[in-house]
Amino acid sequence: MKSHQQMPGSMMNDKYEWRSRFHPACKVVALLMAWISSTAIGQEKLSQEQLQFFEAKIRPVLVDKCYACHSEKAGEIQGGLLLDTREGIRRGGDSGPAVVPGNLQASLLISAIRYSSDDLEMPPKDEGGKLAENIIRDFETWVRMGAADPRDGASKVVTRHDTSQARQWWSYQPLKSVNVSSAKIATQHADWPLTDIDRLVAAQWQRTGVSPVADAEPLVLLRRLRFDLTGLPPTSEEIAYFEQQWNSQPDLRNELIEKFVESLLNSREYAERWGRHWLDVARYAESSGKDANLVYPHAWRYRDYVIDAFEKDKPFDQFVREQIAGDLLPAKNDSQRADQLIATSFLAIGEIPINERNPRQFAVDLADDQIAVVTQAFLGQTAACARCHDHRFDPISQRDYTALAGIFLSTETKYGTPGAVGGRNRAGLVELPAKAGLPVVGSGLSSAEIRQKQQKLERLQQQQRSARAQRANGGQATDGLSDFDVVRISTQVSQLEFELGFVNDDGSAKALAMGVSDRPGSTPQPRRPGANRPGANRPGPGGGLMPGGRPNGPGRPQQPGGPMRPGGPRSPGGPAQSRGPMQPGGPMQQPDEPMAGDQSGRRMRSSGFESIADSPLFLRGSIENVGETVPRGVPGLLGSGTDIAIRQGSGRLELANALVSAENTLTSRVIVNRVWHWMFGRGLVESVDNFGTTGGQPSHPELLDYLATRFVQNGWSIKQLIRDIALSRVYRLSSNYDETCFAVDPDNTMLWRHNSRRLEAEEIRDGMLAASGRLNRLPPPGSLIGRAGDGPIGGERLQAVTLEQIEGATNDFRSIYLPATRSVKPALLSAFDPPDNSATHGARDATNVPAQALFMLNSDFVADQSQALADLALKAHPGASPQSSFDERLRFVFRQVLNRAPSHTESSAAKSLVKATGNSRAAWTSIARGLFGSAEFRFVD
Amino acid sequence: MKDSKTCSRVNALLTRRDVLQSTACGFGWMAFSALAGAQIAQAADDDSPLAPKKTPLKPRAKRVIFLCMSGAPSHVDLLDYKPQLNHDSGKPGPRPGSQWLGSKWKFAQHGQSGLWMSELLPQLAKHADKLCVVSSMQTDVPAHPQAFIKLHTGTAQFVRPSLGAWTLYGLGTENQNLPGFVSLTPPSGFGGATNYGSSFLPAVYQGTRIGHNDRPIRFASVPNLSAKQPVADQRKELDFIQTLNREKLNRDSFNPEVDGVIQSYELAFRMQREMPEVLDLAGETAATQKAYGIGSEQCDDMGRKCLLARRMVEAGVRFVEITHGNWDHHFSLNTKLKQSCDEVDQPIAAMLADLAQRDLLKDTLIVWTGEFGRTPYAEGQEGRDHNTKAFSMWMAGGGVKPGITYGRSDDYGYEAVENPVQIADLHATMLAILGLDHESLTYRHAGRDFRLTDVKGNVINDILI
Repeated sequence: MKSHQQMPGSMMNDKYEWRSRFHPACKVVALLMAWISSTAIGQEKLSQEQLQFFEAKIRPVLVDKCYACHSEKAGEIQGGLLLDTREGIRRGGDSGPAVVPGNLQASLLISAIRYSSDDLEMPPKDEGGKLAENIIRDFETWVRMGAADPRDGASKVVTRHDTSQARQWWSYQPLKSVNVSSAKIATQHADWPLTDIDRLVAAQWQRTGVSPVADAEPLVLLRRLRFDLTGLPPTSEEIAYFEQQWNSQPDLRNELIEKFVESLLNSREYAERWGRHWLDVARYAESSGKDANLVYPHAWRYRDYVIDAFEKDKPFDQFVREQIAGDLLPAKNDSQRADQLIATSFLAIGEIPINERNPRQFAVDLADDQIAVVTQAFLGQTAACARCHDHRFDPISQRDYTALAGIFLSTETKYGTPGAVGGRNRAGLVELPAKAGLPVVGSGLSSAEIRQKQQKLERLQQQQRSARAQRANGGQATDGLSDFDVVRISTQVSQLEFELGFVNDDGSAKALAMGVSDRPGSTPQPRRPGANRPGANRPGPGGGLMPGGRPNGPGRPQQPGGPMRPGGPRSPGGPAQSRGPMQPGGPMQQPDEPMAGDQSGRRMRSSGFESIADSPLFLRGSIENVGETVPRGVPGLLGSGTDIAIRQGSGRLELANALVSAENTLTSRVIVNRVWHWMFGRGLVESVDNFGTTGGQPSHPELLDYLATRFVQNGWSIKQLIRDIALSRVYRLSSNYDETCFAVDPDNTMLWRHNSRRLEAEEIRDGMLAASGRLNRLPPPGSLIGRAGDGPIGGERLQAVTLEQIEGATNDFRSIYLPATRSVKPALLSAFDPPDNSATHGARDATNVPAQALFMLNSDFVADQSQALADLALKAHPGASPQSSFDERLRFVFRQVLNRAPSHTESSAAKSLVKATGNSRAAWTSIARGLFGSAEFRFVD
Repeated sequence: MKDSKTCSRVNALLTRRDVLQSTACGFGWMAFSALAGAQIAQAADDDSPLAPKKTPLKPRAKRVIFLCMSGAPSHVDLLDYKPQLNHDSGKPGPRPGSQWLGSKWKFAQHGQSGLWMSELLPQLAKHADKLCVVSSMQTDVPAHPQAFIKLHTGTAQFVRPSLGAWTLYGLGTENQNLPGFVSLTPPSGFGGATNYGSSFLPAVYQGTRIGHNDRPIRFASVPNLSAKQPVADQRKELDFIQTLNREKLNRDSFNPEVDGVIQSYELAFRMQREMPEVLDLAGETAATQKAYGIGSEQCDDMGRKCLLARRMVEAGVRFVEITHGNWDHHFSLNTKLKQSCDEVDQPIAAMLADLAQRDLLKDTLIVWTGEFGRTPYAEGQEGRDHNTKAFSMWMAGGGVKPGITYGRSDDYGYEAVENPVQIADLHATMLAILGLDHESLTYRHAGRDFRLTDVKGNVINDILI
């Protein structure tokens, strides 16, 4: 065991340093622990003694007593268990792991050789029977010491979960190259197609017995394009122009549509609409949800990043890479750097249990949210199901899950919540390059305030240090501080650190964002280009990664005297976990050992995930039940086809690259299907978030692969994809009912008509504001939540923002800029199925319930918009006498709301309403409300 | 006129609109139901799709309160007493590497019937003689969303109408001024609106959600419930809206969504009068509120939901569902299961007593269940995993035999071994209790007749009175 010091690299230093603080009596235990933890870091480094023990005591018994039935050479392998490789013995057979290093309880081999259960006695009685007591004890010692095992090599027997059938599932097959010209189109449809998309759709009609309905009327098409592409209704100028051109130049209708589509795609309004789609997928929210529900005051930067990405048509592969590993990508300048750092908010904005008491549980829950969102958003896979066991339906094993977990557990997530307001798991933020010129939240601090806070902080730290020293090693404190006082001091310290960390030296507020960075490495990492810039050596908020660099090197010991860095507090939200593994106060690598005490003197446990490391497999998802360590990596099925092992860094960059690699069978299909869904109200694969075996099959497999292939060829351009779809004839079909086709294909799977869809909550609100002339099309800076600052939503103390502020939010800007908190939603959106931001949701609900009718009839918002529209109508058409202007006014409000002219029946109905209430403002308000309330306004055909 | 076409159109394509317009042909609701191949309903005097309908079978109960314990409660700690499991606690379980985990709680027999119940449900135990426990429930997919949706719609593979929507379709509702189907605080995950949706059934049968995600019901409300103008003026405005809607329906010739909007407006208009009264618990005596646990830290929320449910069924709502969350006890079973039980025990018991006292229990069906059960073997130190092979639920009230246990799981509560009951059987039985035949309660969609139980489902006659 002494030879432990032969371990190479910094790990040895770590352990040496760490051990030296312990009483000699603890030495053996400490060494044992250190050794176990080292196995958890990566490939096993075995000492001579460990090897000798294995070779002398363990291997001969295995060979002699077990291999006959449990080795690759055995005829029939019993129980699916192989004991002739390390991998085999750790993974175990049908019953679970045979050996779990350090854990006698969980090691079935031990229970088997002890004969402690009637069902499992090994070796069997008729094969020589129970082993001698001393041999059993050797095995126990071996397991307790960490089950050192030099037998490399893969174990052949696959898990009991047979995935071969699931692997045949269509979405895991390579994309097929599609020859459109060979699409067989029935003669009666031969002239119908305009584009390749149309050809692939039309090729299915004859077989399925449907034929297309007529094309949509021009104003129906205009309204559809406007809402689908921008989430807003057409303006009256657009209606007039489109109608006039359509009628006057019938030969140029395709060009007219093309031009219109082009102008929409080039608008900010397009990006606001499509950015909102992506925010649904990204489970975007401005608070942590669950019981604490602390606000995320910096989340809005991600919202703006997404909108910008759609506006600039950022190639989707780059968009993917940035959201997963933007901090690790090279950047040409500060502005790009800032953009990429903000992109990683994607991983930090999840619903997380801030109040979880066990930091280890918290860490794995956070990683689980990240695995869930990455696999579901980009791949349509429900990998999170494999957290506790192999996926029951899809070929994703718990090992695969754990390989991914290693990536995210090696990542520090900076969601930026202060410690003082109820978050047990505080975290810092990402500091954005000052030169990027980004707007900042908050006004900063005056130099007097900084001085005052710093002095207070130093005083408290002094108190804290002495309190800690007095209480160290169970000593009796003489400072007269109660336990509560010690906790209070600690809370105040973290709050002050948090506040001071948000300002520059001159007191101005820093530009901060949510995001991630790699944890400190366990071996020295070369600095990446771009890290060597001014400011790169200063600790940032969160204390970990500098913009553009790998983590701060090998994690040298901090000053032994105290936790603060020289030069004052610059690690605002920087919790204990962001400091290196060398923190005095406890072995961070050792999750299950309580720390001697943190600065406050409180006993506190660390998460055990403080540096880049592989994750152990948690049997049945329980953190108490630690299985073998799985090298972190990208499972082949989810990436480029073959498993990718990560050698350096967290592995996020490798993961990101694998998602957009040419071999990936999922990413491009999933996104083109999402876009199709957003254009047609239904995906080619209906289960847009689930491409696994419990999801659906594509209705048009060739079309899906054609679109995906073309999408990649076009440089992953979302705009080009939308353009292709918008200019197809199938998109242009009317939503007319057809008895025959409906009888055959009521769900319109074969696209014989366009699906009418209910507008989403944001479109209904924005549409009304647009019609009433009240819509402010300029984006507001930041967000209400950003301005509110830190703290919980509602509650009795320290609240950042009240429930009423969020639910009652009434602003005139677009809905995407309204507060997007979890659990509490603006009332203006809640009747119409607002996004569920707990997880990825690529498809909205569209209910049809009385609550919506009540909203239209009785809400102040609809009343206000109706009155504003009435005023517009009266102003536009004052008329010589009230009666003379009726028709103009009616045409005006119809055009504003339904984007068409009234029919005769509608006109007489309006007339009788006006007659009943007088041709007054009140009457026109009533008419306007009636139009907003109509089913037609709520649907786009 | 379109009407002549309407009358001759194939029955599959009939919609509410057809029926509303069909008076010119001399048809009413009766014609609709007959033509649509729906053999359930005899015409009431009202031709509204929500009008109460006569049922083909004799109804044992008129209304339903569905208590959905989302997350799956542990049957072996609550209703399925297993001495053998306790005896073998710690020994190897049925799955490789598993260990039996005995129940930490004492069971005792209660009432005349001698029903075994755990000490976690002391108040409910006082009503043991009212309960009909089914101990042999099974479902297929051990994942919450799928199982939750299956419990509510019969299948997780497709979007299908929910149980409440089918009920409303089959029975109509007794109070035309209130929604016929209300869901209190349903989850927004686990299938979300699908669980109270109407799918291809007309939208008027969709459930009305109050609150969500198990957020305390006291924060939930029905927004915009009060009219801001005189009713007569509002009616004129509403007539204008309905004219626009009917115009659209005429143009589209078939559009169930627009039809749904029309119905929802009429219901909303009437709800304004009656709903506020039903939702207002202030009219209840302090003693009643206390009995339900309102004001107590643990029971306030469930107490409010149960009292609301009683007020609603009393007012004529056909189907009320209450969701109570957080039963997914993978960890910390010892503390968390007790907490969940403490939250629901008193309110549910109080509701049973209250309904009985008001003579409503005899024709109200109460159903208590999770989406599946939990394993009798341990997960981690003190948790239980999902178990679809056996779980327990209970019913009470109109039409079910009180004080009995139906079906049996093995000695550990791991797998149903006697009279296993599938979700389709439960659905068939619930419909039978309401006087509906699950095989003939059909709706024609896409060229075929759909039913809640698809091609499955057997009524458990043994538990019916």
